[in-house]
Amino acid sequence: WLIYLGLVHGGTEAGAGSGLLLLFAVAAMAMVGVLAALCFVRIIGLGLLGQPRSELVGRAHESGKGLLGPMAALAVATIALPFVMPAMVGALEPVIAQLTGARIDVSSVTAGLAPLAVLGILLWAGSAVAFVVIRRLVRRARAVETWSCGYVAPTARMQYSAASFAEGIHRLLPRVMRARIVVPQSTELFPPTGELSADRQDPFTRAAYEPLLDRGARRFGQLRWVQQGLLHLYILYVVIAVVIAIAIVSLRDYWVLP
Amino acid sequence: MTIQDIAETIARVTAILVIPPFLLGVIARTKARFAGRVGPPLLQPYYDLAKLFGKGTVLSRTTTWMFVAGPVVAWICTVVAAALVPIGGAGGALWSFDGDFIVLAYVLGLARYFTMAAALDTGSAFEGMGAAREATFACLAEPAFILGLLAIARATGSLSLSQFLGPAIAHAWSVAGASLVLVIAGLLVVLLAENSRIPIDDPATHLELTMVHEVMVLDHGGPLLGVMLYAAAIKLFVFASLLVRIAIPIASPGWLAWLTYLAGLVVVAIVIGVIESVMARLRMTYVPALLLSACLFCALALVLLVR
Repeated sequence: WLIYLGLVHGGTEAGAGSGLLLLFAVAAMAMVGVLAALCFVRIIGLGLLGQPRSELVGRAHESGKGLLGPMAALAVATIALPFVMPAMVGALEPVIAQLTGARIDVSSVTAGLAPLAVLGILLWAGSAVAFVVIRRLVRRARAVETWSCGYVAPTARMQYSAASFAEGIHRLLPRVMRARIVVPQSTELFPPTGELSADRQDPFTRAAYEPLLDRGARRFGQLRWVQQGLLHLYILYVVIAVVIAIAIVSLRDYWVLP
Repeated sequence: MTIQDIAETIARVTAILVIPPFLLGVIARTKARFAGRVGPPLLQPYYDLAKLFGKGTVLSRTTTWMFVAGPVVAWICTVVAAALVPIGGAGGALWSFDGDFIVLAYVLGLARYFTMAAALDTGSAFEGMGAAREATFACLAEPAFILGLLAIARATGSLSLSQFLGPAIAHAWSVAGASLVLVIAGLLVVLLAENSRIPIDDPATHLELTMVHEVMVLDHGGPLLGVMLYAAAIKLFVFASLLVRIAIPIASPGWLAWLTYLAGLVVVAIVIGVIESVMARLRMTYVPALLLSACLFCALALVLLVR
């Protein structure tokens, strides 16, 4: 939020070139924010909600108190964050003054953070009240299977998976960064079998890192004769290295220094 | 706090709670007239909401508390978003601060998050499809929205929606009119995208090919569907208010300003109805291109301002 405020302040007040850059940075951050929210929807929606998508997941159970306790503490801290931030920023002021030697006025930062606390209160209080009210209205609810427009035999495998959820966004990526999906075309009139293979590896790993490191590994593999696994040979290497080092130092003293 | 201020605040709160379903009624009436029919009464959405809130509820066994929380939190988020947007002729928003347009975008994004989570909670392929499509369109509509608002912020030199959609916009029209026209075009496309209107989505169909928002609320029924419908109406109201305030700069507050504002809202609703009547829905693979063009409109508006 502070980054946003800073970028927006700078963008609207700055000159031509830098102002434009700052404002485009705000738009880029907005896109990152949307993508982050979508990632979370995907993780929570596909991992926790709906029907279990595999045998293993169907048998998942809640963790014990040892694991849940710290998570609950973190959740409470995250929820309380917008309310304590102004006080924390005020507490940081002497630290900043000591580290940088400059007195920074944090009142504007605190003022900028205040609306977030109000927003937090509004959203949490409003949601709690509305949730209670709605619970009252849906109290006498019947429980049936999901309707999904009258489809009578839904299975867990028909649900959206991670890859299919992201498919739309996937198509917006440049072709180099997409997954390699290979569907061999059959030339027969009535092909008996079909095949589809999808390589969803990270494109940089696949295209850049792995070939480069492979080539490097092959070169370094040619040096493998040096390592014979004999301890005596390794001690001999150490002795030779030390002798060479002493030779270099003494020759330098002999020739370079008067 | 003068009497004028209190009256304005009450008028704004009433507007947020009462006007949104009326806009839906205007759109439906416009579409019906275009098709040569008489159409439903203008107040039909109110009757629909009353009917839905009186119904019982059927919940799926697959769903959890997220299914009930989704519409509720979406509604709260859209109401907070409406509180951030300046409503009425010339006054400010119910709540304004520096950078509130970014909070507006994020609060609407939170509403979208909870709608999508409630959709994925049903464990049905249909709702997952709606959530996936919504994810794709949101990726492109959000930067367009932010860029449009940033262009206006830059044109008026202020950072709060109440300030830059207030008296400053009249001056901005005389100085940077071309940019503002581009911003209006971009924000109109964003309005159509975020509110699931043709050409991005068809709000009156239940065919798998053409649903994005309708399919996410498919399993909600009764009061939950009423809450979702209300939240969608308030979201449309928020976007329409933004468009009206950008397009019609009013300097002085008062009842004439309010009348102009309401007339502007009705005009926006009629425009949406006309667009829905003369166009068919775009093919799904072309919708990202349309949203990208909205992004480019707003980016061009920004570049024109800063050159």
